[in-house]
Amino acid sequence: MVSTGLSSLDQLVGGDGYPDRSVVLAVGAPGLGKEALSYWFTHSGLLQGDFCLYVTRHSVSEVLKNAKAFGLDFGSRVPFWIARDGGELKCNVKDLTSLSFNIKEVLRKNSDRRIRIVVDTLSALLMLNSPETIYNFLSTLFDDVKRYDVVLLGTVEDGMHQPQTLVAMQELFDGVVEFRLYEEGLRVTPLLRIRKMLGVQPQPGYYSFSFTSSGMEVSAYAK
Amino acid sequence: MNMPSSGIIPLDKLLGGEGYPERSSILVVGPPGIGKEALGYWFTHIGLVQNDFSIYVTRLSSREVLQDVKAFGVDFSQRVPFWYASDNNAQVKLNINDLAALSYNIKDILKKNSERRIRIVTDVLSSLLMLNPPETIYKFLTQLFEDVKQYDAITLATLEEGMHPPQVLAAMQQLFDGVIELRLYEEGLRVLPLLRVRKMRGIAPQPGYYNFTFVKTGMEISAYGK
Amino acid sequence: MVSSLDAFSYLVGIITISIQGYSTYWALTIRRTLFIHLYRAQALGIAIVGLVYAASELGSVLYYNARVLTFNPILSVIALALLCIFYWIDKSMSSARRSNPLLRDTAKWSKARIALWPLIVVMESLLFGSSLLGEFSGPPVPLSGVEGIILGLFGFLLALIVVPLVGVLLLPLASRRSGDATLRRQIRWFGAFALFVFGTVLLAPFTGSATATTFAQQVVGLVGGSGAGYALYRSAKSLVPLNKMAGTE
Repeated sequence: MVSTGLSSLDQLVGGDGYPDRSVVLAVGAPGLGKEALSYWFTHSGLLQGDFCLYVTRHSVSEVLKNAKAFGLDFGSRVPFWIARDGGELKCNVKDLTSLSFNIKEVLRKNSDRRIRIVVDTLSALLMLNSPETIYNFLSTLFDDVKRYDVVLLGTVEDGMHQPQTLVAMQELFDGVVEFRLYEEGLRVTPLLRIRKMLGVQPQPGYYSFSFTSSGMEVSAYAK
Repeated sequence: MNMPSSGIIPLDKLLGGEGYPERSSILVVGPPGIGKEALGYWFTHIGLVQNDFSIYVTRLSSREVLQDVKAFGVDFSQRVPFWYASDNNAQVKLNINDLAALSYNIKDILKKNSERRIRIVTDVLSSLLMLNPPETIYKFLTQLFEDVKQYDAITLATLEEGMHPPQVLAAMQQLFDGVIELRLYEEGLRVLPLLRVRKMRGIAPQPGYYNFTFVKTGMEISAYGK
Repeated sequence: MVSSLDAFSYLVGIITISIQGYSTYWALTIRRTLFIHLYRAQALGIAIVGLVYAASELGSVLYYNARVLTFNPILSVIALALLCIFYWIDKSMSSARRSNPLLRDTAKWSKARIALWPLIVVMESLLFGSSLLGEFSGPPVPLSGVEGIILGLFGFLLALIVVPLVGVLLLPLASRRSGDATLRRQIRWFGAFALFVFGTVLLAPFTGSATATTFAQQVVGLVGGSGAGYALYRSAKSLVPLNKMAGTE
């Protein structure tokens, strides 16, 4: 198993982290902090000496600055960046072919180690292409990715895509971590739950959460 | 390395000290009438005072905007922004139906003023979203931000709440680095105008709500206690 | 000792005035949160329409039941109501133009309103005055004498045509073009309000008379007034999008 980078989340997803050779999706509305999962996942990988690939539509400096806000300083060890700006390779969300090619090339060159991939471009890809195109793109990509010792974490925004698009996306992934705003009378509360996870019994429970400088605190939410 | 001030001191404080993140895109969402345009006015104003290059891209005429600006107590008389507006007095005339020209003109203006920090304020986003499919505008803005972010430039756009389906609002929020909401909340028999920083690059998610009101010097912001 | 009809009428009055008061309260509450003049004015429009409707109920009770008034104020109230409704229509047309992505000025309203306002004010003043004229010339009926009849009819018919014409034809068109869903909701509910009021007014001659009320008229007033009040309340609530808060835990 591959640590999520957050001990509280490791426990929730089945003990030690994400399943080996899995692809996991974090879905949620903006402002809830799902990007923190990407930062902590990468951070933990860097500490363990895994090869970390960060695919982002932002510039490297933007991601670093944002990670700092969650208390994460990548410092001396940094991931391999495919980014809009400042990365080893350029991320062009309009060019699926080169994106796919670049990812596969990087994987091939680092196949001797465990690899962690973060992809935060999924919503942008879905907006700029038809859902079917992205579905096929990801299917093919995951087939390639799973030939290596890889765990991939993707984030997608809730609320901006058609519900059936999100359902189809979730089908592609082995695990889904969901951040939601739960309505209760006049109040709305942010919660998270493990929608599904490979090798783990289905868990209906919701958890309230908060981000701290050392990670994430999670507690069961009683309705 | 000074971050671009929002022009409103209490708002700068709320955003962690100095203002908006560098080279960022900021979205201000709210219903018509609540005064979200004032964030743009104060942002432009401080830019003019600091001698940044300030451009105002509006679907109204510069005269109409100036009327509203005055009503909020903001002074554009000493120095004026570069007007990209619908009237003939503007430096560049805006055609809301021509996306290509909009993109080209903005890039051209940026190129000609690249030696300074640039502040772009616009109120055209809601109109663009009503006149084009959301995917078109998403694509348009993705490309535009890519170009704009090559310069020391910050973009502040206002978006009307209540005029777009939630999906479109969510897509826009995803696209911007920072989202500030000025919205009206119903609580029993009360209606509360509250400000919320929905997201801001470089700041951890903030769940707080804030009371706000516009005053002659900017805004007064206080935490909403619950 | 109060007759059962009077008691029922007072009850109807209290209920309908309360409901209308509630919609005025919401309109003013929302108005307080807005900073831009046009939208504040729009909210004020709904508030004063509610007030005038409440005043019409009060006037009816004072005339029919408390018998404090010696003339039926209904025409004056209608005049005042049409004036306030026109104010709201004017502000809503301007709001629709502002929301319109192309800033389309339906029916060239920004120019047309300059001509229409004096006309409306004159018409409604005539109508308003015709009630009082009746009072000054003696008999407690709204219209008396040929002059009174002509003035009243002129004001009444013209006002009754122009205001609804603009409201029913131009305003929905302008709001549809604006693409502003919240504005459209506000206008639809206001339209429902107008329908209830119109229905009540239409039925009035069949259920009562200018000098005395009946149970039937009061029931119509109760149903119409409650329906109108609820519709106006929904219209006031649709002035802006209202949200619920997200908890912090």
